[in-house]
Amino acid sequence: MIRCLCGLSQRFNGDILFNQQSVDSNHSDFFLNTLYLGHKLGLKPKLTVAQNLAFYFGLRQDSIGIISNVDEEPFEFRMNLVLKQLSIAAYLDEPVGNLSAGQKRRVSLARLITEPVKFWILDEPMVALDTFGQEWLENACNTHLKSGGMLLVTSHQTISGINALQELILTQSQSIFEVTE
Amino acid sequence: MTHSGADKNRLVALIRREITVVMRSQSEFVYPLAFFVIVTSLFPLAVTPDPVQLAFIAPGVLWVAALLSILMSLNSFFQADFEEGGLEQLLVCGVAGSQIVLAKSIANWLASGLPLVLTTPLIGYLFNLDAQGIRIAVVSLLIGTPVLSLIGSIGMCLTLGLRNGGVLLTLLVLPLFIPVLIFGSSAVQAASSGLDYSGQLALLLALLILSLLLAPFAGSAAMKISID
Repeated sequence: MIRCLCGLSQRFNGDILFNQQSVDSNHSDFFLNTLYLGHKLGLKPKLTVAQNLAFYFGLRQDSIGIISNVDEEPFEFRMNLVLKQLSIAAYLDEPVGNLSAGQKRRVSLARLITEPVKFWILDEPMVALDTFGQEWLENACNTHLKSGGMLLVTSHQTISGINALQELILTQSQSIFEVTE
Repeated sequence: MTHSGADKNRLVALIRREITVVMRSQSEFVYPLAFFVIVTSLFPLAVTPDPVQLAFIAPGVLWVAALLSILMSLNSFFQADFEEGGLEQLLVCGVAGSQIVLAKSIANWLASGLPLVLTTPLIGYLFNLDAQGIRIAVVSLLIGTPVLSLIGSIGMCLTLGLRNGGVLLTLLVLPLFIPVLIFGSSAVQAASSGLDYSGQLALLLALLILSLLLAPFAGSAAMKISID
């Protein structure tokens, strides 16, 4: 379902609307505002942490001006700050391939901070994270929500720390089982 | 205006990333070139050391070796990015599929095609090709190898994620390579026997323009099917 939402899969009927416009007809607008982190992290193992983050930031550089409530701190500053928070600052110039699974996951989560977009789609972001990392993610999500961002998270664990608005619990048959406010 | 500027920046950023990755892993950079040199140098040993005969088979040998070498080099450009989720990420970041295919084709050509073109004079000399033959061999490979990269990219996008993609890729793409092979090697043959070769080169150029225009879009459609 998440993949359909991101326009990666066309195996569905109906329309997906973003800002009252169909995602298909309004592709670029949707993608400019969305950051999707899935099971595959999309990091190049041969490139360093800094190179990977800078590349994805560079792709969005032209569009980032659109988002209103972004502080004007430069990319380098934000990258160093978030990597320090995630305690992987020491690996800045290390090829991603040499990092552990949890460290790689944290590098991909750092993109949430280095690329300030409105809509986060996180598919199982807690995988391979330790309690410290989970706490950081919950805090980041809360800050994001407070500053007016949107968030879509799927998880097998119960996420207690995020002040979520709605929770959908899916049963085996993929129909909506329960909605809690 | 600003939009096309942004598109160009993205294309450059994509190509630069591909090149950096290739440079990091020398094997991907060196193998196709080594393959090209080894295959061509086997022919004098297997067929004949006679200089006249060698000059006769040189155009075909050069072109077949270049074709196989490009085919071999394509895999690393797409498969790894697909498995790591890089392609998905690019699409979700709003990069057009055609842009990805074009960037990867260009990077593939810069990393594998161009070194082949640059070593061609040496191989041509070993095969006793005359100066005019060598010159046209370089020119025809310079025009022809980008076509191979572009067409190969379509095949690569179609076979992404398949377990035995390599064999299928060869089956899919080789028929499309044949026109390039025919015009490329016949241009060299014509040049080395003193005939007019401009027709073959013009056709190669036409193929290059055609594949530059169409391959990115065909590849993009194929990529979306593979990722779905």
